Amino acid sequence: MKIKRLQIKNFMPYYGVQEILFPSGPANVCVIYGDNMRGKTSFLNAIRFAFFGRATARHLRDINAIDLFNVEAAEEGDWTLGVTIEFEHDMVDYEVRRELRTLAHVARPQTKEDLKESFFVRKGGVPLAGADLGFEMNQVLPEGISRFFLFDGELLQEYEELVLNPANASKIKDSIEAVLGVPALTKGLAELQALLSQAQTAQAEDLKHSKNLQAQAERQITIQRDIDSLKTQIEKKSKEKGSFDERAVELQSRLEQMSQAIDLEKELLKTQSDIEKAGSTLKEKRAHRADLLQEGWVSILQPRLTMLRRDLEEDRATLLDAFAENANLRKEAAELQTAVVKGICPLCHTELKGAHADKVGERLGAIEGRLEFLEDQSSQFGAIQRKLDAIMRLQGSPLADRVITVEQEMRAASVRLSELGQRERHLKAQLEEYSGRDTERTRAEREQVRAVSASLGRDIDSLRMKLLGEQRKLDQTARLMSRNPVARSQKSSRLVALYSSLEDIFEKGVATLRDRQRVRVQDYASNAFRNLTSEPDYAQLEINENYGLTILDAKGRSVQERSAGAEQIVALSLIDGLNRAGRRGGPIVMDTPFGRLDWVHRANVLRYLPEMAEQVILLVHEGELDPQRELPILGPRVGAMYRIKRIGARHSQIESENGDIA
Amino acid sequence: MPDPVTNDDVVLDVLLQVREQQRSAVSVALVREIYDLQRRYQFENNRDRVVVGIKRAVEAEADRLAAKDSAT
Repeated sequence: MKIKRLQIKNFMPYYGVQEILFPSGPANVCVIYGDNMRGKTSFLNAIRFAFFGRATARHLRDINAIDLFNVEAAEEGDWTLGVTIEFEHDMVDYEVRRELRTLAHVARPQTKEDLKESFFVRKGGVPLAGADLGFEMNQVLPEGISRFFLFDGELLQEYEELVLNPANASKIKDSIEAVLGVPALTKGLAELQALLSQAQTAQAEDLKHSKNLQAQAERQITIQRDIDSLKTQIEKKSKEKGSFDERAVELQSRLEQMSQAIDLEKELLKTQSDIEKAGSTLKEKRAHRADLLQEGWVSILQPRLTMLRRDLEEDRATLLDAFAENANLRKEAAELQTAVVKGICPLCHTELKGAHADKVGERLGAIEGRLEFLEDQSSQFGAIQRKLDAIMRLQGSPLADRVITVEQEMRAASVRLSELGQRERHLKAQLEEYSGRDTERTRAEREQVRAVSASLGRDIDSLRMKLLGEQRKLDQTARLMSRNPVARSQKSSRLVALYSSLEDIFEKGVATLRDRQRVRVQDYASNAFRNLTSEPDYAQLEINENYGLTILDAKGRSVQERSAGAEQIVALSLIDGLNRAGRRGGPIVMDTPFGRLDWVHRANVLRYLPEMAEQVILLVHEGELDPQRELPILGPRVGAMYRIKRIGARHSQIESENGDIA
Repeated sequence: MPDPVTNDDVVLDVLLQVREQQRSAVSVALVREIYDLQRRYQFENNRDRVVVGIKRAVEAEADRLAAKDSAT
């Protein structure tokens, strides 16, 4: 599967219609830069929404549908949002489009019941409808495995949790098994068990009329009833446990938020200090502008100053010519004075006398007069130059330009101040929300809920043990009966035999599949790990039954202490392993994947990334992927680059690398 | 890039291998048919189609075995 185009309309921070075209071919990486809070996770959620009709926040909680609408558009009365994705799968073009809008009679929706959702799918240009639509989407892109290509930092953390504390990571373990195809067998096993049970009941009903088999058949019917009752109890308790587990996750999330309150307070203090600084900057800029405006008289004199400057420059040019003339005249005067003293003509070298001598004397007199005039003029040169310098100072940088620059700086400072003000209000609102919560009470409730869940878990385990015992009894009875020639000839007995064999195959198949898939994932993940790690002594990864991975060194010893960066590398390796083992190709969309990696590991990941999937879409901020230093590592593999730009607090715009509006 | 051996190949291979090891009387065709149903509908919540499909396939196999027995 390759995503070709995505169009977003009024979805979260994306106001209006915006579009992105994705690259394909060898340049398979699309980089989308965006600062924090600009909409990277919302972009990921737009894809999730188009395919699965939901957007998720922390702990995979669904975001309320009302909160998916762009606030600015909604304030303008436009309560429509939509995401369209065009992609190719198995050489066929698909288009999925999901839209949300208010019901006809609703002006401003309050709950999701006030909204209407529409979902359209075209396959090869032909619209799909009804059951085909859901079935087709599950064939192309099952939601159960979507976390492995639409993933964010939280998924990486979940993997790390899986590695560190497998007991608390059942959800992610289920997702891993889904991608590896295990549910096809576990669901099949459950269905075969149910069908076997039905077949055994039918067999007992058939055989209880037979004289020799009556007692066994009745015993079988009794056991079957016990089994059914146990299954009902297990199902009921599992449902109860599920709701307690959900509540525990909710309370845990609330407690985490409460602990965030301390960080929020620190952030609030910093924001307030930043507001003060930004306020001072704005004040300074305003004072600077006032100073500049006081020089406004200069602009009135500009035409006059220009004329004066031109006149002075002419005078200076005349003087420079005079300096050159002065030098020549001095040389000539010196030659003529020598000629008069020696009495020899400087030109024809004959004796200087009579009219000839008079002419030389006249010329010498004229030169001396001219030199005297030139001397007077040269004394004015200094004054002219000083005047010119003063004029140039006044005209050096046009006042209007300087005022414009200062006003731009003032606007930037004002925007910053407004942003900080918004942040301050937001932080205060959050803190207010936390202040109303009682941490101790929440913690106590969480413990209570966990205790009930654990108790239910024990009850379920005990019921399962009983169920296993009853099933064994049933199998023995069924086996005994099936040895009877009368029973063997019955169709119900044949069905029992077939279902029983199939159940065995699927039961052992589940265990064998898990073992085989673990080895495949381990091999792929180890290969990825060797490419990603910078530690030459780390040889491979070893997988455990919960899909947790341990690093092994060259001598096969496990590495116990792992840094946060190493955990992230292991988690990325596992994701790569799962993608290779479990999927038939397709894109990977990563939101902020380089969080805790140092420069060496980031470089390793960047070199390996284009090989991880047919199409890689990276949502990053410049702090984690430096455009100058690190982006070049991806080099020609980058097929497209976009930037999510801030237009306002609730309005982000996606622009392509060359500045076009997407 | 993904493994040229698909996940579906691996799962089916596991089932057939277990069948072989158990010397099961169940035919390869029946295992394939049931797995195909599971594979195609593994992410569907409504399982009726799968259950009906399994029942039909197993009953057909039972009839086939009965016919074979009566022929011998």
